[in-house]
Amino acid sequence: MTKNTPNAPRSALVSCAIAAIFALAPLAPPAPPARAELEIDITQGNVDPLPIAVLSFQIASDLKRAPDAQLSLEEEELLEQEANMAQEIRDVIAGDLKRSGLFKLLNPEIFAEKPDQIGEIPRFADWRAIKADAIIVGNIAPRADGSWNVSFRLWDTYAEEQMIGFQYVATLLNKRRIGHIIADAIYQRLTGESGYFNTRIVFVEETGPKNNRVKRLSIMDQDGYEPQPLTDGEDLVITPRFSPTLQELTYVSWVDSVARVHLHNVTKNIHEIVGDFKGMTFAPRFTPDGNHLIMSLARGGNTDLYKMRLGTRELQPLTNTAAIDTAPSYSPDGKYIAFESDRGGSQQIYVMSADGTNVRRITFGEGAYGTPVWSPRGDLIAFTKTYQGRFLIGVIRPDGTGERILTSGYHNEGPTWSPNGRVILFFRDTPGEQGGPSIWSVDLTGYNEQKLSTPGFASDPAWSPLLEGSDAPS
Amino acid sequence: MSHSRSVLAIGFSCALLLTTAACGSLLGGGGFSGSMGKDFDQFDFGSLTSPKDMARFLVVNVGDRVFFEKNSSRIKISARDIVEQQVKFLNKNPSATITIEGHCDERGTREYNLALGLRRATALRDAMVASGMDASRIQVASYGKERPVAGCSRERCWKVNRRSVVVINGAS
Repeated sequence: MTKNTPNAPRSALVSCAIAAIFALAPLAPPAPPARAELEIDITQGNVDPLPIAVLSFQIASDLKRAPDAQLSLEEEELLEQEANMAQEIRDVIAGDLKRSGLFKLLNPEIFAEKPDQIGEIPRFADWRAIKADAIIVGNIAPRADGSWNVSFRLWDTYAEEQMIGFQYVATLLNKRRIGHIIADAIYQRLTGESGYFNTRIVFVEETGPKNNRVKRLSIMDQDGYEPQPLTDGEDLVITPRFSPTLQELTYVSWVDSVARVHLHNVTKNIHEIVGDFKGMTFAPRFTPDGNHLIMSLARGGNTDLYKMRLGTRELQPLTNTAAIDTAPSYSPDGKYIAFESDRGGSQQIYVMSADGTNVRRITFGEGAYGTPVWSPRGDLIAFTKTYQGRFLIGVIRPDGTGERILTSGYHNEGPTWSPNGRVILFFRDTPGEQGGPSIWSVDLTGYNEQKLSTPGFASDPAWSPLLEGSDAPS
Repeated sequence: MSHSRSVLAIGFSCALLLTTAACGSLLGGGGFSGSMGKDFDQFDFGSLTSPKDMARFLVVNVGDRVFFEKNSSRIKISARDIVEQQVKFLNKNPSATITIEGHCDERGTREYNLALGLRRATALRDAMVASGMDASRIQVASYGKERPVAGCSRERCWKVNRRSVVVINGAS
């Protein structure tokens, strides 16, 4: 059973390939190292943000160079387009770096050199004088086919050398993506870990009163840009999750008052109910290879875990207890499954082998533990903990050691990891008749808690893997 | 015992009040766990034809829901009367099939609450079957914490949100 989405998203999840990216050779011969190379240790919670200057991207257009030129209306429009693009790409980069909490963005008013006057080699001493450890200089130049070459260089002002420089082809459609890709490249160069800015977030947009909430699936860029509805709100929807291939989402929606696992194909833009089960199905997630779903299936009022091959819809039972077994999540290597169960009398997190054997409980602290989500790095499991009337987000090692709480409050729930395993999104609900959820992020260090901007109430965030084009060229 | 009688008496008087204002509350998807108490056997359940009429009668004169303790799916002893009345009513109207919806308060995680809501719906189904209802007429469903009736974040709201509700199929 399929149906078309009434509100088609304006652009597919993976819209167009990022073409012709190449590295820019250093402009200056490397100076003898003046000090240890610039780097940021992101494992520290109290890291000093790195002072960085992100200059406005300059337009290398012939039109602009002739001050007394008579420009046609078309040429004027093109100039304005280019100016907007240059500004938007710069702002996307600056926004990503700032929100990461690892950078202190310097005020353009104190910049040592004006973006339109900076030479091929920056005057490093002047930048050091205003305490800029690094500067980002970029250009955009029109191409014959109507697209633009966008290039940037990241300079280390103390070592007086270029750390990286890349060039990309940008269009009006992918300009923000190019900005995120550049921010990822800078993050990766300075932290040694892959970034997470060129990603999207699927979530549930909530409107209406608490006793009659309308819930729609919605998708937006990681920085909150342009949420687009994926469902019309007629049916209640919860718990969307990405396929590792990015082409599909799975979520739960009610059909004839029974909750059922659905698939949403992003490229074809269709929704589909998964399987024809008598009982309720819920808590779906993809296997790391994207070929199966793992989920809860309720039979006779009891909830167990099953794995389903998407191609054949063949079902494999993984648990068989009288308890609630739900919220399964695979380790990234696909060898283990974390899930929650109340088989021991209260809601706790368990880990088992992928075939359902070797089940062991990993949470023994006071309170209840649920919603385990395995980090993409494999080293930690994020969870929601309920303790003394509060809801906490925390992480624990798969062997049950090292429990650490990242945030707590009236209601925090549903962690989801950035693809590099350094940041967690979750939703926070506020109490009362007028209360409602919003999406927040917190670093794995427990610092840098921030609210994401959404048009209204928002819950159940799911963070996508890195989108196409994020791998830096070597 | 005198305590439980007074509870029933309150339930009864509320049910009477509701008969006058029932329609609005029905349309709003509300309901009431009314109780006929000891007058139950004297009451003429009649045989109703449309699912809508049955639903209205159930809500106003019998009570369409039972409530649960925190994180529990046990049918309370105090709810046994109402379950028996629900079964008696439904057996007088044998054409009706029902969906039992289980619900939770907001103080749990979403997926656990879905499973807990299903336990609550199943608990009411089992109690109804034990009281003589044909199991094939009953479908169970759960809305977890997605459909609260009361919005405040206090126990007085949470306790009415922890519920199983009998819904006559075709009534809405």
